[in-house]
Amino acid sequence: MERPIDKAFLDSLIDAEMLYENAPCGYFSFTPKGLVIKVNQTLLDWLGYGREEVVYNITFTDLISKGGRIYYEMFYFPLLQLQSAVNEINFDFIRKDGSRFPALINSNVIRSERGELLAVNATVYNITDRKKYEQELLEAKKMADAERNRFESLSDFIPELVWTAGADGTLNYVNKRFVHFFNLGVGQIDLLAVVKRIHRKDRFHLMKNWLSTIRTEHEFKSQIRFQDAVGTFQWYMVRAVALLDEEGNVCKWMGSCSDINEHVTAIEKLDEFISVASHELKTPITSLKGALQLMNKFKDSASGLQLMPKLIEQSNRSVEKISNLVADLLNTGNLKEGQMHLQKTRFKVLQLLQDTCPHVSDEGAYELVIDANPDLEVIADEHRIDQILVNFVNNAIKYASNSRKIFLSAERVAEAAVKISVKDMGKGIAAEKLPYVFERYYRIDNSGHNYSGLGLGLYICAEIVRKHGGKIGVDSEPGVGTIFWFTLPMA
Amino acid sequence: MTDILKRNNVKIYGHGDKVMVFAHGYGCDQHVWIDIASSFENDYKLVAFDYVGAGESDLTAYSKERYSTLDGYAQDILEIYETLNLKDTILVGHSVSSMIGLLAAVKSPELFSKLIFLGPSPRYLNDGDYYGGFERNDLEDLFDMMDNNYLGWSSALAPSIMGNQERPELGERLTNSFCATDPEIAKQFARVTFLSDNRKDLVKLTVPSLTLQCTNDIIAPIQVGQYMHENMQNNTLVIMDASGHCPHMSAPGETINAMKAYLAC
Repeated sequence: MERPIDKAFLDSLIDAEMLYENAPCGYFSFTPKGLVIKVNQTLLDWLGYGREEVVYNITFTDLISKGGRIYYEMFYFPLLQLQSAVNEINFDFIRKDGSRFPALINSNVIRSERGELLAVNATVYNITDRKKYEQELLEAKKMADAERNRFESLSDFIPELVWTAGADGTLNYVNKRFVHFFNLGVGQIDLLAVVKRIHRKDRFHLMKNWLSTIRTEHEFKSQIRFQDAVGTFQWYMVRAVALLDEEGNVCKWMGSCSDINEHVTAIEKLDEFISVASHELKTPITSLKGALQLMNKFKDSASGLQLMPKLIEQSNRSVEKISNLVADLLNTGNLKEGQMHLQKTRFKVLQLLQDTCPHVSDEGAYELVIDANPDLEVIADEHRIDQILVNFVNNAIKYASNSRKIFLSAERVAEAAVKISVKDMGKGIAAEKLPYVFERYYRIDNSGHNYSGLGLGLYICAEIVRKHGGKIGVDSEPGVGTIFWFTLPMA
Repeated sequence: MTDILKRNNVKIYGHGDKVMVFAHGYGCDQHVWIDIASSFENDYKLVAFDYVGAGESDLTAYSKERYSTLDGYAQDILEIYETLNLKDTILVGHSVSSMIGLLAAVKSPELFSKLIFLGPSPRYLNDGDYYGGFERNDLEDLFDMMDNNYLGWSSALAPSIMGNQERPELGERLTNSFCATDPEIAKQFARVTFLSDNRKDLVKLTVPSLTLQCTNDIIAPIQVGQYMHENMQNNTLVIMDASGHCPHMSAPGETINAMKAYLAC
């Protein structure tokens, strides 16, 4: 059987006063006017005062700064009056040597039966360490904020649509450009609004691709069409790379959508051009091949020899066509690399207009009507300018074959320039096509059967004029005719 | 139309024809009047309220612009008067409310018969020959303390770390529920109060007034009470035995007696 507990004996072992004096927190008591009536050793040690210097000698407010005293009067004291306890008030205590330490004070109020405030018991926690950690935490947060701001302003500034997604593939950040492009509300990433803007044909492909990427791979790439604000579809390259944690697991996806529309359409144009060019080259080559075969067949027969001149002429025409096409291709290649060199001389414009296009005048099917002041002179590359005129005239014949007369004129215009125009009276060019006629690979009639050409002629003309520092243009009225013109500076 | 009575949590009690209006000082709310109001409720109709941002006022009515000077607070008092149709009143103002009350009485003297100031100061900062009791760095010290003590709000770290949007709601108030003031509003009120200078307004007051001056008040030292007394018409200065800045709480008896003595004559 256990012996009964001797409570009195056990109680006598506990020295409450010693516990009070050496507690890990400070204790002190004071009157309503602040006069300190009791203080423990811990607090005295923190303050650096002797007991007799404090007890019945100084007030609570003597131990705190002036700002603290204002706070004491305006907040702490009214609270003591109104509540039975006032917890966690932060005061800075001032030590005897003038240094400070931060403390949290919990206060309990002792009142008379009438409710009158008699004294206050206060517990003091020294929070120097906590303050230090708080400070470090605040600084870390400040740094993190600054980093985030830096990232966000960078991400908002670059021309790409930037986004991030969690490991599961859900979008969790988009930059301002992204928000603007998809017209999202502030602070919300509405996936449906984004998906709706993806071209119907690309949606399934993109989703399938994305889902399989987030399961298996660490890099994502997909070329899709987004509908822009106006409603037209533009090509975008959507890319993402995975951010891996220490164990190699994906923790985040960093993604972007780059506008590659120009790039994609340029490639499309080039593909089309290659097919047109091959077709254009194939026709004269077939014709040349046929002529050569016939010549081979007839070369030993007397009757065949009579056909030779015709076949030779056919071959010549074919070779001429091929060499013109190749010259155009070469010109374009040179233009692209900026290798066109002008050989400028001074010459009379009228003379040039009269001498140009002998093949047209000689055939007699078309009449070239020339109108220019005989004294008008320019300094330019005469051969290149002639090339432009030939192009313009050939175009007039090609696209306005019903116009028997073609008008070549030159006149002086403002700013010391000469304007040279080639006018036909054909069916004209539709207004919506006009802005593009000087673009590379552009063919006014794209159906391709009636008219041949690479879509390079006018582009080359425009480049020549640009090199001369002039302007090039076209005015056209359906049913009335078309004027192709360019200007050259006089000096 | 703003509900003024709700905005300022206006409470009306007591019986009497004469009206006594209590305006609490900076740092607390109308609870501070509990001890002395009971002595007047048999003879007066009592009106107490909370400034916007304090106590149970409507925090949404706070406007940084309106309350960027004490005039905004004076306007609140006049609006309460207009709503309740108060006239011929005694206004009791503690601390900064003395100046707020003074501004209201300068604007509409006909509404006030007497003003009672507890611990008033027209200017807290020292300025040349003028002794207000404070230097600017004392105030910086106070503002630091206010940053560290969000009364009634989550203590210490939380508000500064989490930022405003994570701030605990009113329902989550901690232990110090009395005198709970929105920390941002409290800071602005502190700046407006301690940087104000109403010395030029003292001479404009025509309503008779009583100054209850405590001994040993660090916020409104005795020199300030004397300065006010010298610069106002019809001012009675009573220097009390009570010490500190809140005689209505620390020495309600002495405060009541001084008020009654003044009102009797």
